[in-house]
Amino acid sequence: MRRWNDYRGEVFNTTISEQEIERLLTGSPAGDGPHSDLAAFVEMMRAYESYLPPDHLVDRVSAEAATLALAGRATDVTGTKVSPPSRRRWPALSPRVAVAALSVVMAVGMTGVAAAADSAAPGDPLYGLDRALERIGIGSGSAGERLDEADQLLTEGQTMQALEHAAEAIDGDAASSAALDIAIDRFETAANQNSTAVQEKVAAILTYMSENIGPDRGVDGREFGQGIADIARGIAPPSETGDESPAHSPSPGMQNQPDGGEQPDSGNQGTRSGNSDPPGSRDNQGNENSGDGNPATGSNQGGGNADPHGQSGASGKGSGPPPEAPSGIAPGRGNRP
Amino acid sequence: MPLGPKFEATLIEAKDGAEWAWAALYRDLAGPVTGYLASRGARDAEDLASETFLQVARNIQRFEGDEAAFRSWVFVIAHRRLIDWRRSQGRRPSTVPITAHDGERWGGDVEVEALDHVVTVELQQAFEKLTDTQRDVLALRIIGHFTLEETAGVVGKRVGAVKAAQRRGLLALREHLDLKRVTQ
Repeated sequence: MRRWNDYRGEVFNTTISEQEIERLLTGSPAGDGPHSDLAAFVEMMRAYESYLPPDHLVDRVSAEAATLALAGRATDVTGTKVSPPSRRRWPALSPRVAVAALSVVMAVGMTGVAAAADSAAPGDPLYGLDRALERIGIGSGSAGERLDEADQLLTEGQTMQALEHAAEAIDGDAASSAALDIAIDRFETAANQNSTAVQEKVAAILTYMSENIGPDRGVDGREFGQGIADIARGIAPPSETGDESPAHSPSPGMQNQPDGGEQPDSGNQGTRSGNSDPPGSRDNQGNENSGDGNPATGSNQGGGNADPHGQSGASGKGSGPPPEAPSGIAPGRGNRP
Repeated sequence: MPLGPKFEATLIEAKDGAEWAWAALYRDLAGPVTGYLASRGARDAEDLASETFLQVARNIQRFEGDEAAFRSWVFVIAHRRLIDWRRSQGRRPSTVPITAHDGERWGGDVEVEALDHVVTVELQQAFEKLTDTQRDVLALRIIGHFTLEETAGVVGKRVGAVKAAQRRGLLALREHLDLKRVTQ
């Protein structure tokens, strides 16, 4: 058996099966075979685990943690930290959606249906419900989820649908939507829609969007649109389009976007603390806290999106919309006329 | 090393404010948590990891679940800390090379010494070219030993998206390594 770093000088495939990925990521890497380059990478990453905290740090952290744990117990006993009133979880509930959601809830039970609908893809019967639940704030919802679905469509080779789905994700943000429309146009006129090059561009757009959308990202609406447009411009051969003016010119007021990246850390503490709660503690979706305590259960994926309604404007400064837009959709949407 | 059957009792004691219980939980998870943060570019991974545990302590009374759920929850908090930190940096952080760390703390495993420095740097440079999501997912799967589903829970994405991210990440990594070799 060769050493782990013997991958250099080999020629590797551009494909890898799901089983091989699983074996690579979970098994002990083999130094040879068709994926010895990736095995070397896994072994390099594994080395990070070898960290051992120095004793003085263990002492300090455990002493502080013990104190904080007791303090938490005290407030829980006095009842000052009970869950927020349920009204907070049902903002602007339209009667139609309310009736639909309520009847399903009564039939199946909240957690089960939220979890099931949460994994419904476009085309699935549950998909409509998925969307309805999102609108009222159950499940992970919002733009991030749209993008994940777009990503899934793309991996299934449905490039056009993926783009359209992505456009839906940022519906409401003028600059970004316009930029994405360019992408769709280009895609439609592209010589070979299913060429690897085109798909790579679309993948790049989705990646860019998913990494820069929502309250956690430090990109404002204008930059965001620009970023999409920049990638989109590479999609089709601009045969007759020439120097078309980019549609990402900022709408008035967009420059005033407060930059999330500049928030002081103390502000983050306040707005973030909700995200660090045990998930079950604030989202009592009809079960007893225990299931939701596990972030892997799926009923409450995406700590950042799950409870946006209570924190909007928490760190509000400047004149623009709060950096944590309530629905977690594209930055800048509150700013348009 | 998971606490296994001892976890339940340790959790009860931790909620009761027993320092030994917190030391046990911290010693058990500090390695992967700090390793995850460092691999994702946090310069002060050690500080971020201890902050993560203090946040865990603040909310421990409301946690119910087994050891796997606890692990996931701790990483959810660590991941949020990482995002906050990343945002405060205002630029894309690079991976902190493992070789740059204090040998005493990171050298507990002989494997670390066996790493060829040149190859390690090469691999890390390729890793840095991946997207944030790809890196998050790969680091969680490898360093955190999370399943696909658990990883999806930690990063708040769908399993399908995690699957796509790890595949694309690995293939992109391979491509960067290939390019590097060709241009050398």
